[in-house]
Amino acid sequence: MSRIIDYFFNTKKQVKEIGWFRNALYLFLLYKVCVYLIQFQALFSSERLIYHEVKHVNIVISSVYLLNDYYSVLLGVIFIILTAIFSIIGLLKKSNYISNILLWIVVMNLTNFLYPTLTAGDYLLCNLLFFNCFFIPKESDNVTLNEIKTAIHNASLIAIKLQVCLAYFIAAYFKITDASWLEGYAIYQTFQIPEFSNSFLQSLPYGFCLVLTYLTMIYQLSFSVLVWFRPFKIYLFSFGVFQHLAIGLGMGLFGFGIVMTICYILFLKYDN
Amino acid sequence: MSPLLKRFFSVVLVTIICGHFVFVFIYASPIKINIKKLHALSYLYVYPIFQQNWELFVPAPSVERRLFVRYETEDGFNDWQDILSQEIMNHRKNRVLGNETKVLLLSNSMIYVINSLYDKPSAILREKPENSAFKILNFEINQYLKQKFKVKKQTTYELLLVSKGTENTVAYYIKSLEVN
Repeated sequence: MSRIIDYFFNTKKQVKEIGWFRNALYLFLLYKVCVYLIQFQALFSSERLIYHEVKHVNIVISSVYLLNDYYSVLLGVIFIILTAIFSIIGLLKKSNYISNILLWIVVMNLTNFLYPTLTAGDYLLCNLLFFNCFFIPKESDNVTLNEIKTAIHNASLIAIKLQVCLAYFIAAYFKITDASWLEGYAIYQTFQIPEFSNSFLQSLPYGFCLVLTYLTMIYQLSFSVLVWFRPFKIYLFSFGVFQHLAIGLGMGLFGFGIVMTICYILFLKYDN
Repeated sequence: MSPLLKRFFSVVLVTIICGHFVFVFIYASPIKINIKKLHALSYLYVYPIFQQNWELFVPAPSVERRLFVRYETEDGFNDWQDILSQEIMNHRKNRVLGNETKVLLLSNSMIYVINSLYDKPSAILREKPENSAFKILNFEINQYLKQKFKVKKQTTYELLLVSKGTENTVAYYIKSLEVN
């Protein structure tokens, strides 16, 4: 118990990595803003391709469906601008609880509005932004309040790490119960589908894809355990970055690849 | 803060973190837990605030989808256009410009429509299917035609949905649709 208390209350953990993580997150959101502007006609204009129905459930849920329920082109523009403003505030290190919570709500609204275009990366981004709200709080004069803030900061840090580990574990569990992954042809088969491939990936030999399939499964299965041991991190992250860049640039799920890579920053443990 | 209060606060934080991830795990994992109430609770808690899906290419995609469309002009119907393939090729030219949204949009909607029609073999449908999956795809195609090809309202158009797998191929030719 004393170790748990020590973990929560001792000091704010990994402030340096969290700073990098936040910068990466805010830069990624600015990239998303650019994408929204480039794809504005298809996603937010009056001729948008996205079908939506009004969902009035309860106040909590409605707060993340505002754009969906009260859609107008202007509201779309406002949400995009707010994302940019709160991200820039964060990059300038001027963010606080309120600006980060607002950023999370705004991004949740955009995400829910664009529901048919989402990948696992978009959902993960929303989860990261939620826990990001509680990082590096400003110090106040009240010592007790500072201690509580430190505890919540450290709790959020462990929560993001657990979220990433859980994601890898669940993804691995799905794979080890699926024939195409167990028999080793999953990646080769996926690369033959134009939607998730390009001419280079399509031309990769079966043997190489077979090895890649098993390596991916081993990687995802072992990540949740090995990531906590320093000697393995370099191998895990090297393979992870390579894999997620391949998913982003090769398979075309760019946002997903980047969000997963951003998560690794929190496992670097530079301070210790 | 007194040690007792720290202890209490630590217990609260650990309980919240554990509770959160238990619900997320029940919601997102493939492991079946035979407690319906727990599933309902996890759904209430996770969706939509902490929504996530980690199936990630399970099962590995095995079908190539094609979405053809043609519309009526003054000289009769124009040539079939494979709009999904066109968007895929657009996306391949530059992966960072966000064209994946259009590819995912058309492709996901098409999957739902084909799944909703899967009890029928390949068919020519003279009337549009009355289900929500087709309603969404139809809306997207309507908007796409207006946006990309400047097709006017009340123009007649037709769809050909093809799902080409390693084992079998199905195709649905849907006639008499109208841009609105």
